[in-house]
Amino acid sequence: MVQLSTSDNEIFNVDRDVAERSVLLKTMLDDLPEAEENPIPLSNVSSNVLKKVLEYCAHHRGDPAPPTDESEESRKRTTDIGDWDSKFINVDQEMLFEIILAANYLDIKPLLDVGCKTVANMIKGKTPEEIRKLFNIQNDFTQEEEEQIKKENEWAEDR
Amino acid sequence: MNNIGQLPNEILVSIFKQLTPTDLSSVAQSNRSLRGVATASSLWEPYYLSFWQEEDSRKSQIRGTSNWRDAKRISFLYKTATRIWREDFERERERENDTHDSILEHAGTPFPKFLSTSSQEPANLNSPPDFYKLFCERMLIDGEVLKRIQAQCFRSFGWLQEMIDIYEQYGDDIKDILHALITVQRRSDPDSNLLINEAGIEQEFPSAYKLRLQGTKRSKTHHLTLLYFGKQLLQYIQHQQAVCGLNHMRGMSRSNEVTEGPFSWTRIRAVQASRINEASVSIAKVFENGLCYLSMFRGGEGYEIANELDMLAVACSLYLAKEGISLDTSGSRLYAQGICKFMQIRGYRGAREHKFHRLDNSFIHLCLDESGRESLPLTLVVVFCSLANRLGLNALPTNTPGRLLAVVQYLNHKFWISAADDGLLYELENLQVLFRMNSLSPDHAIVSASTPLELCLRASRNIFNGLHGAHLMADLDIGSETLALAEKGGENRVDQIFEETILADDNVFNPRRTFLHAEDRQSYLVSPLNYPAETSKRLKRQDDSEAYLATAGRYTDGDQSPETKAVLSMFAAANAMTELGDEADRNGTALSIVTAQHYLPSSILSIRSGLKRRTEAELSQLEKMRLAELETLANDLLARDRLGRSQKRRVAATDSEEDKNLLKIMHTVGTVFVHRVYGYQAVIQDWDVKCDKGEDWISAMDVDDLPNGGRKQPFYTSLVSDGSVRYVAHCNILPASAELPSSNRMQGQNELTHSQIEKLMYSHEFGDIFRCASANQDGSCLRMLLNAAGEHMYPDDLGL
Repeated sequence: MVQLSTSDNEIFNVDRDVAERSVLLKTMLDDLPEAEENPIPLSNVSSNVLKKVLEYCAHHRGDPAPPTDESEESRKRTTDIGDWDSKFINVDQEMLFEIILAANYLDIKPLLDVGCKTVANMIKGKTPEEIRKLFNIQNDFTQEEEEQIKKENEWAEDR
Repeated sequence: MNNIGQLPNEILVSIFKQLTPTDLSSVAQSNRSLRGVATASSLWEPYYLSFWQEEDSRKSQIRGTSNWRDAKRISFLYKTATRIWREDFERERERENDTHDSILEHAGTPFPKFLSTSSQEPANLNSPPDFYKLFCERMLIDGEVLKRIQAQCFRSFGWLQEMIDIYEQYGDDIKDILHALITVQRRSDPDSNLLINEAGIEQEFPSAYKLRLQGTKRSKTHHLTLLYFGKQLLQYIQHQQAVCGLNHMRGMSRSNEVTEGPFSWTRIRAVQASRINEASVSIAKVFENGLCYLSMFRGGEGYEIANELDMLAVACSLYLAKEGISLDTSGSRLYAQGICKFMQIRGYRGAREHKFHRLDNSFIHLCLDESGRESLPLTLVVVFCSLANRLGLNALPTNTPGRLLAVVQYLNHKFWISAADDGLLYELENLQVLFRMNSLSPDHAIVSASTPLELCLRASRNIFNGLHGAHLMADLDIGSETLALAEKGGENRVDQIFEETILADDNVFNPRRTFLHAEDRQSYLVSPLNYPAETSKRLKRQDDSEAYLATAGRYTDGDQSPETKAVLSMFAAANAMTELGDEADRNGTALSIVTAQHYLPSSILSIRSGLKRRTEAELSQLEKMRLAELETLANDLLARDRLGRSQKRRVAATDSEEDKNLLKIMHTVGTVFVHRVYGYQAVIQDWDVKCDKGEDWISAMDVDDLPNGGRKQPFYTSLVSDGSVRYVAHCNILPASAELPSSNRMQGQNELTHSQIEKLMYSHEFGDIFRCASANQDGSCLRMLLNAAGEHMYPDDLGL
């Protein structure tokens, strides 16, 4: 059993193999045997996010290690996310971003992938205006800039 | 944390990596901070590299993409080779349960040093070109070119001038979009409803971006015309490039100076402080380029040939290492024979009698195709030299009479090797014996290296010989040592795994791939591969028409008729003669002019541009005359192009009352029919009110015995789906209809299935007057619709 302490000072008890889905935690546990005695502080992760992350780790505890060092040129543009994963990641946007950040911080590559693909799938097929609405962001281009950019991207118009 | 902009850039990049260019473009237009990330060069690089292989030489310096691509490509080859080599080593160790650490022996990947030396870490790798900007720039050009080609679909004249203008303006920047255009317009469309209800169909032309996507359908209304324009323009550019390249070779041989040609694709460079002779490597490149120029007359692409040879050289280096052959320990002879052995395993060997005179044998891109590796000694020796020089062994073709050899030099070793005979070795003494036996003097000149110019001329003569079907070389026989390598199990050898990996679909450096989605089996840039060690997964065929189109690979020229192949081959040879030949070969010019005049009108302009490049002093008296002749021809051609083709009116075609009656029953141009007697399917391309052939033909064909009035009935020039052209009497025309998908009747005799119609449409290049097929709602009245040029020619053939 490993103890994890969140930014809002909640303590989670998790099996070691679940915690080790995180490369960060795995390295810590391997390097510092005493880490098993004391709670590991995760000051960047709040309890509601960690709960989700651990849910993912628990479900995937038996998975084989992901292949390392995929060569850049041969990356595959797969958009498919497994059934369980897509249900798991069906959360509000704020939680989604938090999970991505946590996965990045804890170095859980498969979870980071699922998160990134989910965001990408949300963007796909949308117009600039729809993207602004989706992420609640402002159009902060000047009129000239906007025209210039529109011209530059004319090729994308007929999709 | 509720704003996407607060995610760190590296995460945004991982997200955006999943997006297509259009999605990226939307993101880039949404907001300033997202734009910063979405226009990152690295996100656009893979798209740029897979959309465009070539670029205008005038711009390549500023853009810097060619060097970048080569650096990345070589580095990709290197990484892949390393990975596969390591995996192979691991497997081996597992199999042999090898516990002691022999990794040191295997540590280095046997990657050829000579593939662009500094390529693995090129100087500019730290400052990549801005691929977003370049992507937009190239898209803009592609879009403009497409617009001009589309506009031409609605004009009945001026295409030739437009071709010249487009090429003048954009240069080689437009080759990739033309390839894309051709690919898509050639896609058969199984879901298409052929029964065009003209009113309901909008003119549709896929955008430059869409043409790159899998599943984009050809234009419903103008695919034949677009295909025709695309092919013509591409061919025009290829011929221009080839003539320009040959012209450069000519200049080189005059000045005795080896310089890189205008289209030099080969990326081999001698490593400094190596034992290889730099000058000799440069000459070896010219040999390769020379054959590339010839290939371009047949639709090959120089850069593809060079890439393919690079890949093959890496595979060969893996093979040699696996066999334990190295230049240092095994010696240059065994090494050279090892390369030959590798070629033999890959299927390269001398063509046997019945295949000897195949025209394809003289074209290196067709020889690199799996289907054409049984080839002529000349082509094989160039492939051998290309591999050897990439692998660090100086090798050049010789002009040895009787058989073409490669002369190999390494340190103080010098020997000759035959690439066509599995690496038969000759020492100087062997050659002298051979020459004495054939009453030749063992002249130094003929045992030393040939010049690229001589070799190219020899290739052209081979082409002419192929055309005449003459026997070329006596089969001499001479004994010599041959290499006896233990053949290890044929499957899953490390070099094969490497080659298959590179040729797998999802990398942008696959030499046979240009498009985003290579699963597209109809893409003519992807040839159906058939490995000796079967890898059938690459080729899936569906119905008949798919198979028909699938055989049309860039390397295999599947959609060219034998006549087209012969004409283009002859044209290649004639042009090589024109550019490279001496006085004795000067009829090359006349021949190329005649060929162009009859079959390739626009190529008159390429020949002219070749001759025009020479200075006054360089032109012989005869050539000046030819040039004047070419000027006249070109001017005529352009004048006719400005006017459009002459009209054929029905009213004017009748001289008598009787003819007028015949006219009433006449079928229109574009009518699809089934021959009443022979049952073949064809399209009417032209008509005559009555038989217009000579008496000989009329009596030989028993025309007067035909019903409906013998020779006194309309006759039609018809394009048959087997590729032939026939002259058919009115009484034998059975107008066809299209089989309806819903119909569950038996197929009638004059009812054409979808794939029969597809086959008919692609059996001829008739996009000059037709644009697409059409039929009534009930499938009746199946016909090809005339395009603007066709409507201009046959104004009375419209209303149906």
